[in-house]
Amino acid sequence: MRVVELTSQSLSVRNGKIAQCSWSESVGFGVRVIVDGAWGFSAGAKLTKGGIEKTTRRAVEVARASASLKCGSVTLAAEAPHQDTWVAPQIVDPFSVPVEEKLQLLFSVDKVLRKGKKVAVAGSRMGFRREKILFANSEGALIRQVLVRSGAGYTVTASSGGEIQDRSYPCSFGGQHSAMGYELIGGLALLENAERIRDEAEALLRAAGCPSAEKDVIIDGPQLALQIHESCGHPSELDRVLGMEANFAGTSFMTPEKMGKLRYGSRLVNLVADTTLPTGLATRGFDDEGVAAQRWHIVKDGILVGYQTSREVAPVVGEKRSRGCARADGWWSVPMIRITNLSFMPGDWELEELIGDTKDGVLLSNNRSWSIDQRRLNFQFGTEIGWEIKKGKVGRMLKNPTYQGITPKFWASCDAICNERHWKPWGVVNCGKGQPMQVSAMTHGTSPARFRKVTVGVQNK
Amino acid sequence: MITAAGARSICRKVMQIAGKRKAEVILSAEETGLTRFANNAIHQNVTQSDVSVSIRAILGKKTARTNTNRLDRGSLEEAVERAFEVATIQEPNPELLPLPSAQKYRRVRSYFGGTARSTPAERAAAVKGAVGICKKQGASAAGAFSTEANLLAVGNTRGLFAAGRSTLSSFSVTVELDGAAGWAQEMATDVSEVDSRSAAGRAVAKALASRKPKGVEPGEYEVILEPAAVGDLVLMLGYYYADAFNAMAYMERRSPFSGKLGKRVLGRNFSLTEDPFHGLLPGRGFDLEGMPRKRVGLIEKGVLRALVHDRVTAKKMKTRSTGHAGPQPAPSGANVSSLVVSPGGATVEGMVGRSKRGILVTHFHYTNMVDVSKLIATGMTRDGTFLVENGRIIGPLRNMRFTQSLSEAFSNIVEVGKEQVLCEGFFGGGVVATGMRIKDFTFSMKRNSEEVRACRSLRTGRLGLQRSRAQRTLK
Repeated sequence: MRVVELTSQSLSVRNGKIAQCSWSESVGFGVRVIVDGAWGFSAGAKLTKGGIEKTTRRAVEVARASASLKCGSVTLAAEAPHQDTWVAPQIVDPFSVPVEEKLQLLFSVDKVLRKGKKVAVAGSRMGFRREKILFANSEGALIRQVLVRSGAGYTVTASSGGEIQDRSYPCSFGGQHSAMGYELIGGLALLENAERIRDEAEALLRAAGCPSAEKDVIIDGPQLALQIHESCGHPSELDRVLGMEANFAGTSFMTPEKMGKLRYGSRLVNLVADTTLPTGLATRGFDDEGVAAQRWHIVKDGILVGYQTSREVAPVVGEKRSRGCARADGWWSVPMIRITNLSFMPGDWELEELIGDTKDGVLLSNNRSWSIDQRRLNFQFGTEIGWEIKKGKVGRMLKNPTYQGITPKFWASCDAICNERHWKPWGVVNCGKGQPMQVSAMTHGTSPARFRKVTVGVQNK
Repeated sequence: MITAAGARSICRKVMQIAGKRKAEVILSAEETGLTRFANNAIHQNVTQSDVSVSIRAILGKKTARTNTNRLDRGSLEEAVERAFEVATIQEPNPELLPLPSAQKYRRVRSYFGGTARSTPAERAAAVKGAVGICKKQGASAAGAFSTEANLLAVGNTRGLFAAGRSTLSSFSVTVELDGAAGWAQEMATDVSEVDSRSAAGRAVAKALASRKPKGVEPGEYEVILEPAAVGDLVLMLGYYYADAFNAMAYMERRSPFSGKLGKRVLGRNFSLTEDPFHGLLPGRGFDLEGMPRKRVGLIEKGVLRALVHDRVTAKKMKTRSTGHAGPQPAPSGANVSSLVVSPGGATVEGMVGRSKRGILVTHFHYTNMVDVSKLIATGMTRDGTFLVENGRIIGPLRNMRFTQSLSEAFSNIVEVGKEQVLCEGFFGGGVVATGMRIKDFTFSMKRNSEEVRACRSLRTGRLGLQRSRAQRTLK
């Protein structure tokens, strides 16, 4: 059983006016049972003896219905029943910071963004979230956790003559988010970058279109974070591999017989799952099955070596213990395998060096669109902005850059990764999975990296 | 589930707490059940219920909102006072309009007690029936059967109150057989109209017909799109990303149709309506300000005739609200949510029969907008893609990626289907769509040798959970 108290605050300013200033709280609980060898789950908000009994009886009823069409009984990998408390570290409680201070920063950013003559929309936002979770199970686990999240960012839309271009900072999808307190906000340098971002949005209106060609691409942190998410994060969720997402988001080409054998990428490619990563959005002491946080490789030296698992599916790949990836997006949802913090380990290049070493390429920054097939192989991404690289120098700005590829071929073409100095953890807060849909958050740490001979500039006719 | 009377009682409580101050409340209640299956077995089965309120405080031109699902008097008082406290420190919004007064609403019938009362056992039985059909063919089925009941109410201190209930049921199934796949879905507000066995039968037929697919070169093709595929493209146009019919987006020049009201934007044989009263949709008669919703003819024979408005954009464009307001303030504007494609006269089979060379598409996967200004979208075909020549389906095709301007696609419609079907887009949302035959549709990428190699062992080595339960470990 999980009892969750969720508190959140959302603020946004749009074109000089407050678009959102809201405070939310939601309290409830979810009960998951195994009856007659099958799962049942029910959730409710009435935290009374009667309410809990009714919801639990409902969960049992649901499990009995599941048992009418099961194949084998559910058994779970062992996990010691932890009794513990884990609290996410923070320096400044974001809920203690006055709303006026937060709005003042957003309005200051908004003022700079709207100075552009071709700016149609300027939108800046901040969001904060705290989850208090109490988990208990019939094995004796009793865990209390407090998770915190802060995030901020802005997007400016420029428009002229039918052309519409966006630029976002620090990254797309509402900005940068971390499991931190308000101390995150100062470090984002929001105001300091507003003028540049605005000018780039307007410049994109006049920029050349991305050529259709095969190029060496250097992909920056925020875009590479999404690449990792879509082409490694999702296909390494073991429940998906086993067919449990087949009806919605699909399956995976990373099937279990390939573990230890599949060349996923070049020997430089190391993708590490880490639920202990400081400030990671998936970081916690224990997952929503009471499994302690861990760190392990999904891809090591380019070879597939691991999966993201739960207690139910870990044994399929010969693991005695779950990796602790089961999370629910609220008290109302059933825990399921979610991508944890999954990061691309740094290399040893300086970014300037890498650009200098590239003869004919494109530098791609910040996601704009994304699409990938149901086995996580055939993908197409678009970024907000790009720059040509010719003979080691960054040249003209490019608009509407896109690139496409096949996952293992793409990662096999990675021949250079920037070093730790360029490595940053990028938060993703809009990961959708499951039926009913759940929205989860995780962090992907990465440095910029180069990939050779990638098809860019997918054109329509 | 909470009734309209119960919702009114909670709204009244909030108004009493607000006293002489101005306030608005949106109450949202839901009860959902979803039975999910994969590898021919139920692996996830959930129910959930909740009631929450969103309380907006108004102080002159200042406003703020709190949301809570704690509905006891003390918690509601706390929520109301917090909303007013935060409103006090806001910057005034010069565009903030006074609360609307009491309104009259058109009745919408989209609540069916049978759907609301659906039990886990009933859903499991329906799933079992569908899986049985798949198992007979040696196929593996994955899918979901959901039933939900919702109540939405809006009230304010000017005496406005609106409440409406709706239900929705959806059964979808993906069938895999010998490495091929087929898919089908049925959605209805009345669960008795959702036939899981029929859907399973159609998905099995597609999977059987999809074995040993061949590839075709990327390029332009005539396509025959089944309603689910059309629905996904239409939703991209209006519901997510493009904001094509949002009056605020229109005025801000970020809609692909900005400046084109009254002009032809799509083909003459394409008409699209925002119709919250359509019999297939789980509609309601009011928006989130409590204004009456209206039927809006958005595109008539290819001409952009109207946009959707809330009171703010209606005032700016000197027209009337169409009843499409979101929670206020909503500076990004009003949104469509009940799109209906006007039917033509063709059947999908007829469109196939009249195609000299084309591709029949069941539905799309992971559709997304690449360039909003040109309405360029991308996505993959999935679960039943077939080559048509001289009026006959001659064989299955490997899945392909399309990259296509939607304005060009909807200007190149050859035929429109006559059957309207309630469909769901890849990113959610419901739409009433028909099939379509469209010429010059661009497929930008085909499955190549790397993909085929990477997938090969899926056919022989993939483990379903049922095997894992038998074997426990893989060595």
